[in-house]
Amino acid sequence: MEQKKDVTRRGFLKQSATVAGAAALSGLAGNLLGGAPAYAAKGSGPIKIGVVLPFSRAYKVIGDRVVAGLELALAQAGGAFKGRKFEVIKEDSEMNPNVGLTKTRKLVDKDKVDVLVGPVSSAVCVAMRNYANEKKVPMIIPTAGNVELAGNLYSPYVFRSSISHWIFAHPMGYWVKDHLGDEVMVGGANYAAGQHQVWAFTMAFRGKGGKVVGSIYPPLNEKDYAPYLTKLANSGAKIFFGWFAGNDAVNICRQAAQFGLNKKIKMTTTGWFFERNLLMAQKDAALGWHCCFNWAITLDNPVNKEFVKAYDKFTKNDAGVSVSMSSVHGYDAGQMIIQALKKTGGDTKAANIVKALEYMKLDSPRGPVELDVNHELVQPMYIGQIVKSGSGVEAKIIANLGRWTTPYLGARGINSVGQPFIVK
Amino acid sequence: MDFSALITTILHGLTLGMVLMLVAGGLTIIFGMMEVLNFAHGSLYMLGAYFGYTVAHLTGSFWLAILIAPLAVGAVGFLIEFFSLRPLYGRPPLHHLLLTFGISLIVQNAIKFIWGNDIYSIEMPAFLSGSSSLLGVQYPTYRLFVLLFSVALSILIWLLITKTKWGVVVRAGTEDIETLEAHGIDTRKVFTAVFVVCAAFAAVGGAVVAPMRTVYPQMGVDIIIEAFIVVIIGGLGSIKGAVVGALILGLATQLGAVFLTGFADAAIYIVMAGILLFRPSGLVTETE
Repeated sequence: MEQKKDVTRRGFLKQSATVAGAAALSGLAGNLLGGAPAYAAKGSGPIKIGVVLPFSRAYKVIGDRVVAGLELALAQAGGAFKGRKFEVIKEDSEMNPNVGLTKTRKLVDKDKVDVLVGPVSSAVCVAMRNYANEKKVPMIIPTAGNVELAGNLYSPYVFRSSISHWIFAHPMGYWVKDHLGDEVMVGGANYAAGQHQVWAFTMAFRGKGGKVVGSIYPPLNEKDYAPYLTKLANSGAKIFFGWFAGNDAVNICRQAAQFGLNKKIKMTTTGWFFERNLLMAQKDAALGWHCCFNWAITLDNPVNKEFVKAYDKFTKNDAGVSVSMSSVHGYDAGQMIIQALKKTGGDTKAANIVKALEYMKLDSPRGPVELDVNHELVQPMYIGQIVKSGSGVEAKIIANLGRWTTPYLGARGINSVGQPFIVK
Repeated sequence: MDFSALITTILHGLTLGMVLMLVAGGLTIIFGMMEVLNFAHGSLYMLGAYFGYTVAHLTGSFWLAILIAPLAVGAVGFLIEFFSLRPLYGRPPLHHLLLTFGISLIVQNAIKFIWGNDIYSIEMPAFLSGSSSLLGVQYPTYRLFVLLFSVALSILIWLLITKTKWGVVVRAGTEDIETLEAHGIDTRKVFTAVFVVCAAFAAVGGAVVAPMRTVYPQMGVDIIIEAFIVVIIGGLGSIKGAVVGALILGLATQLGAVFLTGFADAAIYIVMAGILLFRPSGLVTETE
């Protein structure tokens, strides 16, 4: 995790230019450009995809769904490319940076994988990104939303098939100001992700002249939100923007409903809060909430309909991996790999894979997406409201916000891991 | 902070404390009688929530859920006591702690195997889902129900212990087990009965809390840590101590979250450290 070894965008361009120049002089340009290590130059045997995701404890629900999506994309391509079979090697990150790094090392050094896919945790992501960057192995992030990947932690080898916290919360700030009101109370689970979301929201909301009247930051894994909800109820705020994930999201959503807050206050949040498997537990408590989504099962486009049908068939309707945003992120990671192979003609040299991934366009179930200059995924964002649907609840899309990406954030705002921006 | 917010916070604290009492009470009784620190007690609470979820999911009845969950977990408690704890009585407490820790891991993994990692919730009965007016504040009806329900159960435990012959045996057991045996009472049967009843109380706690929180695979570990804090504050083995400890912990957590913003997690540990500094054996120590 040596920060010094980080290749900055500028540094990388400069370096490659120097290398390219020197190499051109000696007539070796093709082999050295991008500095691919010798072992990556192989053209036979299986195409190895090393997956580092949580497969134990609470976030197994995400890991399993990402893999189901990834494997669906590979299966749709026939499970092989030009006669070379896809081999998915799964390792459990345990949501722990040290474990994640050890598993990444094993995949890179021992298994000699062609592409890395992972992780979920933003902390694991930093460790994994550093190793992929050092060893020059292409890596696709199918979950982690760390905004620094577009800034200080940019790597020429790392791409995102998921979405950063910024893209979720920033457009929501504009939309809430334009459509719901001028004063908001904000809140989030008290760790990097919660603070990043609140910060990105506030930048937009305040930027348009809105006012933040107060904040709540309950600890991660809080079980009883009563005191925080009491504070919210007594604040007189008419709008609440809050961000929580996993069990926390289910808990605060249900408890807010018990206090009748979703009837008194306009409740707003973004994507992960209403991951579809969580929505099944939140049920009626989620009614009325507004949420900024990049995907919902109700999205009305042919790719999405096709995807949901194929996914359900592929997973045999297994409730443990029921279709969700994570499935889409995994599916798109798979699509990226296949499309990159098509471009390189099956060549799995790291430098060529990376080159093929640059500025790639995809037909995602989310709508048309593309990778930008920072290797962030430009994607369509939607506003959904939770409504009754059959015996359960679903997100109904009420607005299309167009396409968004993560700006280069390194020089301002968040400067390093662990020093987040807290909105008071 | 105005008066109504204070009332609300205190109500939260009482609710939280009384729910904890259902777990911590069992923990302290089991320790007092058998000298077993039952680390698996949180797992029994969790099993109660999962059984409750399954029953509620299949039958659609909340009431059936909180009736069947304790019965089923009582049966599990019987198996645990009969086959694993029983052979180890009289051994150093560390053996029991290791054993029950192992059991808690087995239960947790069994739960993941059966129910998976997803998060579940139990729907509360419709007539309890609104809010009620109390002392000038609007308070969720279900939370009031949980408060009254656990107070009623705690009174039931108290009546069992003070007014019945069975209770006399239990109280005598927590004081002096040899004398009890000398009076010709088969303490093994008493142990089994106590363990089963305490398991059932923990389970009913899990099931009744589930509608206002969630059902998830870490809930057992979360509650056992709080329950341990309660019995440490109150005094290990003391039933009165468990009540006092549970209420202190409930109030400290809730008031801490309001007054020590961003520092809520630490509130209870500060209280615990303070108490242990001046009363190392807990607030309530039973005198002989």
